[in-house]
Amino acid sequence: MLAIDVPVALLSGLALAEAGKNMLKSDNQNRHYFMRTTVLLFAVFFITPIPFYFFMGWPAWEVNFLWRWQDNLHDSPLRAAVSFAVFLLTAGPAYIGFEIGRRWLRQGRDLWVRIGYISMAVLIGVIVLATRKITFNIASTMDKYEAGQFYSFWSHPFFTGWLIVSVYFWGSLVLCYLWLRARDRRFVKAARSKK
Amino acid sequence: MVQIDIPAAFVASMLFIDLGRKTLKADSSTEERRKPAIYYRYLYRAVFFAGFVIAPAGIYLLAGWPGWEQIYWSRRFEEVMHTGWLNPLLPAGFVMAIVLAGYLGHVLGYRWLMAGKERLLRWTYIGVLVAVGIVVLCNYPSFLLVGTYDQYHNLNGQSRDEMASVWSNAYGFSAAWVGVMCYFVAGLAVAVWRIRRDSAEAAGK
Repeated sequence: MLAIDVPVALLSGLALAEAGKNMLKSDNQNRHYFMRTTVLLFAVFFITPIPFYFFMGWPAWEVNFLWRWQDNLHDSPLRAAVSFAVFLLTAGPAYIGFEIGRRWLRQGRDLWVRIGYISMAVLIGVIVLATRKITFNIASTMDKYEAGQFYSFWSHPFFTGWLIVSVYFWGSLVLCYLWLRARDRRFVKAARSKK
Repeated sequence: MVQIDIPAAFVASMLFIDLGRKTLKADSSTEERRKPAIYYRYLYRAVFFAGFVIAPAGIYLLAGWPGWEQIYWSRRFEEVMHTGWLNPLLPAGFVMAIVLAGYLGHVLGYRWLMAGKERLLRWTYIGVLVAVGIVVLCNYPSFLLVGTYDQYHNLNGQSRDEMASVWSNAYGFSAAWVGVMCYFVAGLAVAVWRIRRDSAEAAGK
């Protein structure tokens, strides 16, 4: 859901910044470009496809049943442009989250970064809790939502798809975090051995 | 067009490497690292171009005119809403394929450039462009008609005669396509300009 996607993207950017904190704190331009490129790759390869999956398959649910126009994107230059907005709303916050994290780390505010992504995780939980009726009751279009034609979040095929993309995203985030941590440790070791 | 967008990301990444070859070679030789800062700078550009120029443009046309966007190869692209868990994976996979192509174009292009295989690099992206052109032309007249899979293939009581010309602005297609092309050309022009500016600055040092 779009209300969750933005904090999820921000969380990812902040967490990945923390994983490479020593590289970002240094003045090594090589490592800065490496981190920026990794986060950009992560955003467009692992984050953006997920909202698209839901936006194309269950558009009304994906936009939290706020609007109607997304139910029929075909043959309309204006309505189809929403797909553009969804794209930028997911890749953009991940990169913004990273840049905020990078700035905090360079100012020595390491704790802020951790508080930042934990806050995002809490916010996601609050949003899910506050919108649990629409989160766990699926209707693909606004008409079906208004007609009360729901089915359970846990039913196939919705849950199957949700499970696949969730494992894909959270699994990639964990792996990318650990990979960056390992690279960061190697960077610190190399810097120490040079001294 | 799906058949163009994915190779376009690959070609664009290689083109960027080719345009910045002097800077890349000069900067790479001054740093001891296997992957110098400039490697990541160009990779960033390649991924940014694939992810923020080609992918949104492609997904826009795929959302609005799914039949035309994949020149009527599959009905699945038109039936993504509430049709199970597999079909909505297609647009998501499309985005991933574009980004992956952009990444591979950069990695391969950089490797070939550093190995002194500049001609191979150039002929590869020119060859990919020609191959894509042939694939699209082999599907004539699909790219000139706007409609649905069933209409194009004369299925389920529908006929190709019901399809509109891409130039007639039926279903708002022409306006959307012109908008997308303007976005793409502007994005490409900015990317090329930045590479040329960097090269000029590097040459002036």
